[in-house]
Amino acid sequence: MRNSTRLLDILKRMEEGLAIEEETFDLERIPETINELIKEYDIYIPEDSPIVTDNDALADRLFQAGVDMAERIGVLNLDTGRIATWSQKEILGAIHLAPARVTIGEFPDQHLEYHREPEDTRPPTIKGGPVGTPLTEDLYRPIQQSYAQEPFIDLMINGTLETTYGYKARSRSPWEVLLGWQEKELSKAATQRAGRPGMGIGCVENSVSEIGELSASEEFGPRHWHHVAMISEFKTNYGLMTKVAHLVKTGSIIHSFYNTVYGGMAGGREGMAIAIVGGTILMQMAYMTQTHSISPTHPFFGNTTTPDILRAVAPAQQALNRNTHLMTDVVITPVGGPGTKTILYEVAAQAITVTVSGVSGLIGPRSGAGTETNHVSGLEARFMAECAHASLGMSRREANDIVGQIVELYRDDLDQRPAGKTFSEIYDVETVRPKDNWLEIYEGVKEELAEFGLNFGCIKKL
Amino acid sequence: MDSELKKNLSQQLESALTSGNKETGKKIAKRALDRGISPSEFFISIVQPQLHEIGEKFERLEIFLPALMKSANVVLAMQEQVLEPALTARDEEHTELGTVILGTVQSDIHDIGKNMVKLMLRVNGFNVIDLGTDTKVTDFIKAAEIKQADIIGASSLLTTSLPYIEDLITRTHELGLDSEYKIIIGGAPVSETFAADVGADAYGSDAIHGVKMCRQLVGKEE
Repeated sequence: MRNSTRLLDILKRMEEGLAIEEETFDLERIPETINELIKEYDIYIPEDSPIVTDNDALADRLFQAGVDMAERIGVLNLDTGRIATWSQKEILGAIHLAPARVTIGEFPDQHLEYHREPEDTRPPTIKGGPVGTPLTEDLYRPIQQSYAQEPFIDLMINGTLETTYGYKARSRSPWEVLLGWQEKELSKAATQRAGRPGMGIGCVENSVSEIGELSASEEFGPRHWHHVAMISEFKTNYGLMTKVAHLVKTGSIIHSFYNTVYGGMAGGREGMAIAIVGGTILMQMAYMTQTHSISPTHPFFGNTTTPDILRAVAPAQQALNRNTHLMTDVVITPVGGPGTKTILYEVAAQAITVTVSGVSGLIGPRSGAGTETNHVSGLEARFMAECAHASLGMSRREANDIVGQIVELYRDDLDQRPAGKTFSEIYDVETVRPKDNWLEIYEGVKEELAEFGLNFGCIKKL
Repeated sequence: MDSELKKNLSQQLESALTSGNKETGKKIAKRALDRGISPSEFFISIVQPQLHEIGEKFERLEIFLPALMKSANVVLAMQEQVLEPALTARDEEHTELGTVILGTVQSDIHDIGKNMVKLMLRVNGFNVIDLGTDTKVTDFIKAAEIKQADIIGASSLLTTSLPYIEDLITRTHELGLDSEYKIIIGGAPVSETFAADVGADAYGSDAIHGVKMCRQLVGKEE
């Protein structure tokens, strides 16, 4: 539940809470609390444990550890230098009142996203797109269209513009207004050309500060999927809270996200798992969001698909999805780029892992770790959707057997960072159709994975 | 230095660095000085090998940022409170690789990667002045002048904050300071090509590579 009264209370807490130095928050409050909770709740995820665990007792302990983490750490507002905290009773009450479903997009292309549970046989929402990867202006519309036209993609998420009207744009400046408006024009043109003019769009991607969101959000409309970041770890500022206030007052759908770093303040597998659960809860408390995503990132590769990260994500998602009705999403960020087998293996492993762990939505893929300009295409998002659909009805144990085999196909390629090819090398830009070179790789990998037991023939669509 | 003494001090320091015990670290440093070991000899023979090993453990992700931070804080306490007051000018050249002004550029509030670089530089013997996030170009340059820095390290995690890196480099050239400070840049949207295009002196692809490049910039590594 969200309303202006709750917003006032959140802002007040951020102005009256405990004052703390950022360094103390980062280097003492977070690691010390998480280390205490690992011991208190006996959270143990060894290196040789299953990637897709089905240990429900671990998931339930993780949930309680995450609730405690949220209560003990809170959210630091960097502008006030104070921590907003909530009691356990308040946290559980807010989770209870949070929405379990939301309709995103406009008639007749709207999509219903809903809470899922581990081994849920209903398909997750597929949110295809480059997720902030830089795109050049000339290819922005065709690249976004390559996602919007895929039937299994339910919502589209935008990339960022490398320039605007030929100029290099700067964040937190008037350039953000121009970027936001241009993003709206080009992404709406993409959904229009795909024949899905009301398709829900993840926006405003070109809004690092509040400027882009305040300027362009109403151009997108309140039924689209508006993003507000949390700063790693568990921090916000007035710019982000301004976005929240604006989106609450305009009745817009809010998606909150942040990426904890593997080996960072939360530590390794166990700490990351607690941070996912606790961080999701804190985003709900501070931002009153409909959908949430926390996707831990590797500190050196910038991806989310390394086995150790998957080992933390699976139980953490199960913790949230067994014990709450929150809608949890996961961003899939492979190191591989389009035109490589690596990206498809990585996407398959993570898509299966999180689908059977009960996520509401899969976002991405953010190909090539999201850093290579135009190294993205709709085909890898189609593949992400197909893997998610193919794993419906699978037990977590069956999923683990398959994921274990897939991981071996890419584990050794991660430090090579095979960025693959640019969009125009693998798609016909005029017709927005994948070229044969990319299709052949895609078909070949599907055949390969079918031999592991991934049944691409039984794709469901509600 | 007596090999038995060296072994004992190394073992004790390893334990202090692992536990993050600053007091023990300072006691070990004092004990070494009392035994007639010079600050530079202590740093080079005892501290640096331990720090090198800690850095390698982080590179293999056998330890994580909080552990790295604990070790860095012990070393910082030893340096500031025990070794530096006892340093001679000759010693100084041996114990500190150089001063780095570090920050995330204007409009960008990402700091985890920058914090990793900070800690890795510190455990590798650099004096690091961290300006935090959202750092204005003029603040980088002012801090470099005040601290007589060797290197300015600028991080950007957004394509829309990259222009501020270009501003930093252009401004140092305009002020004729490009021969005074080497500029190293890093962050997700930064690449070797971008670094070359904008005229940066070096590019660090991650925290470990960043340290290697900083060592090169101060002439300590090929």
